[in-house]
Amino acid sequence: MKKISLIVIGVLVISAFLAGCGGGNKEAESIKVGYLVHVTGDSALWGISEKNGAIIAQEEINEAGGVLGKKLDIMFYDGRGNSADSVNAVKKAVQQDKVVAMLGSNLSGPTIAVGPICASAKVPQVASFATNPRVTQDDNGNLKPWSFRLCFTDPYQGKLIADYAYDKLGKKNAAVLYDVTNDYSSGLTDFFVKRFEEKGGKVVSKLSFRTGDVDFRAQLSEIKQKNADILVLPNGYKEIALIAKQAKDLGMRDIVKISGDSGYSISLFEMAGEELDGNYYVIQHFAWDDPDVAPIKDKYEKKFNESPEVNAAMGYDMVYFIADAIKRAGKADGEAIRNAIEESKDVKLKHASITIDPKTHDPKNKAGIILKFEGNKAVFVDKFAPQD
Amino acid sequence: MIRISQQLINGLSIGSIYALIAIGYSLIYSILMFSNFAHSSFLLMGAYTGFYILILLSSSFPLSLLIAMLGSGILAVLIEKIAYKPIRDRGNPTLYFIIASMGISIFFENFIICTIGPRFRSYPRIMQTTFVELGKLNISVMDIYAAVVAIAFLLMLSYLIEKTKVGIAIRAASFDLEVVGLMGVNTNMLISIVFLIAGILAGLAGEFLGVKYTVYPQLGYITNKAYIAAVFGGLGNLKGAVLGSILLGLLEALITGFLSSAMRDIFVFCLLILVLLIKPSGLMGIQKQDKV
Repeated sequence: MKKISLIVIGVLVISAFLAGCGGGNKEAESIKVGYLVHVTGDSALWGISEKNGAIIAQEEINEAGGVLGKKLDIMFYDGRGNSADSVNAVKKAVQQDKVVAMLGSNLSGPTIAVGPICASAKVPQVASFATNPRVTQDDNGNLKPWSFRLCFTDPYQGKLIADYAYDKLGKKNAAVLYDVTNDYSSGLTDFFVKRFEEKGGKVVSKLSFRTGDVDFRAQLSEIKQKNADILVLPNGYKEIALIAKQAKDLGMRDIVKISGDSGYSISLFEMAGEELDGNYYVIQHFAWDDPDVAPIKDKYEKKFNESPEVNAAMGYDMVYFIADAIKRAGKADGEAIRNAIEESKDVKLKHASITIDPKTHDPKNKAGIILKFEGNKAVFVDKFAPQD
Repeated sequence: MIRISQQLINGLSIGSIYALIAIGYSLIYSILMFSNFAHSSFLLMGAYTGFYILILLSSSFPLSLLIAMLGSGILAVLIEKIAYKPIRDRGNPTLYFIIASMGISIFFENFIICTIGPRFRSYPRIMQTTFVELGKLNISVMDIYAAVVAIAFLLMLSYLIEKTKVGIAIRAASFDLEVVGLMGVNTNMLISIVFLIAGILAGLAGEFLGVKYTVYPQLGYITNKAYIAAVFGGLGNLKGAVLGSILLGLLEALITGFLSSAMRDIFVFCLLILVLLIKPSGLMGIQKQDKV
């Protein structure tokens, strides 16, 4: 027993020593940037795509000579789709691995949770698809100086859905079925309801479920009684697929469904292709048929032998965005990079041009893309920005 | 009236799946006096086995059900042999079983994430007509199918327990496993049989869940609800497990429909606590000293 523990201690000491040396050497020649992705758990599909997209961009940048003459080293941390694991992962990133910037994640809850850790370590945080307003502002509306994002926000998205449903689709009676335990879903619901009622529409039914639920028939039976003409689903693709199937089982074949940016995944076609066909609208940040974005898809398919989710393009652009900010900062230092991010103006990325609004830390005037499901494809319908 | 009836149907269909899972919990508890949290692994096994049999062999649905049940049953027996028997042989306290079973369930979920992958998979379409209309009510064909199969299996189980020699042994073991062993019953064999039955029912439930919803590594979480249903009905009592499951399913649907969808779980759990305050051993449970 004693022998074994001695051996274990010996191994630990040696490995710690080696790790120290390795880290020391690496630091000189590379710039470490953390990336919080959720590659296990409920939303793994998106996380994996985002990670792979980022890997492609990292390779391109390093082949072209890196950033400030050093290699860009993107280090991925798995947040497993929840706040607790994300906090642990990001603590490791900023305290042990000493990353100079933290990218990600695509989920609002975990991104909000890791914000304070980044701020106290003076590491800027750039979220990819975390759309909740509290990512960049606290509850009282004060700006979080170290947090940024590249996607549009939920209030904006809620407006988008409301305006599109009311003005373009001409729907006046909406039902909402949302996840009460999820920041994204409940936030989006509130913003949608507020805007839709302002416009003169009626929300005839607002029902909720909890993360992990798979049976929505009790809620749908109630919605059916209320004769809503549009069903708003501010949820993830899995819930949307299940809801569409169960709605059909309850005889609600024709109700039009609309969702925010989490409502789309290529898996939807496998999960609920025919139930969603022709009556499902989803809001996205960009469309794959955009000629700027298409090459990312080709590279992705070549490298990983699978079709990418939209997150792949975002992951790709995130890496280019941070590389650009580090270049403008002139040194790999958290504070300098933060200032550079705040001053971002018309940064040309593949999916959009990003101008960060220094007052909100959100991108300025990003239009939403509306896709519709037709013939087992997501078809581009409209480019749409709400008019205030 | 239509509203109530539709919600009753929704509740029954959820409750019948809970019942298949809850029975396994109760059965194992009645013999070994511990809550087998590895039950979720049996369910996953069934869901994934059925899925791959259908996808790869494009077999008929009943055949895939059969193979899924067998797969889960065999897994249950193996887990008992590998993980629980050593603990039993050393005569360790119940707590060790529970820790081992939790470990197995975590292991299995992550094993699936690492091997098969974390994404949601959908079963191929099994039947063309998905629902029947009765006046203004809609009933899903799969639900009817699942309910019929579930009832058939529960009847078979009840026959096995009440009328056969194995059943007598199981009932006797639920009183005192040691004495049954002294009477010349091969207790290891008996425990394997009990795990086989629990596994078969969990596999059945797993495949039905997979067909109705989707298959994914966290599918096993539904067993938590079924476990609560088993406690509600009285752990260790099979009729109680069925009753508790049906009641839980109905409660969930009715509360969602008529009170508040957001408060569903709060209401359900307050009711459960109330029941357990009045009857600590559950609706049909037998008074026991230590309930874990």
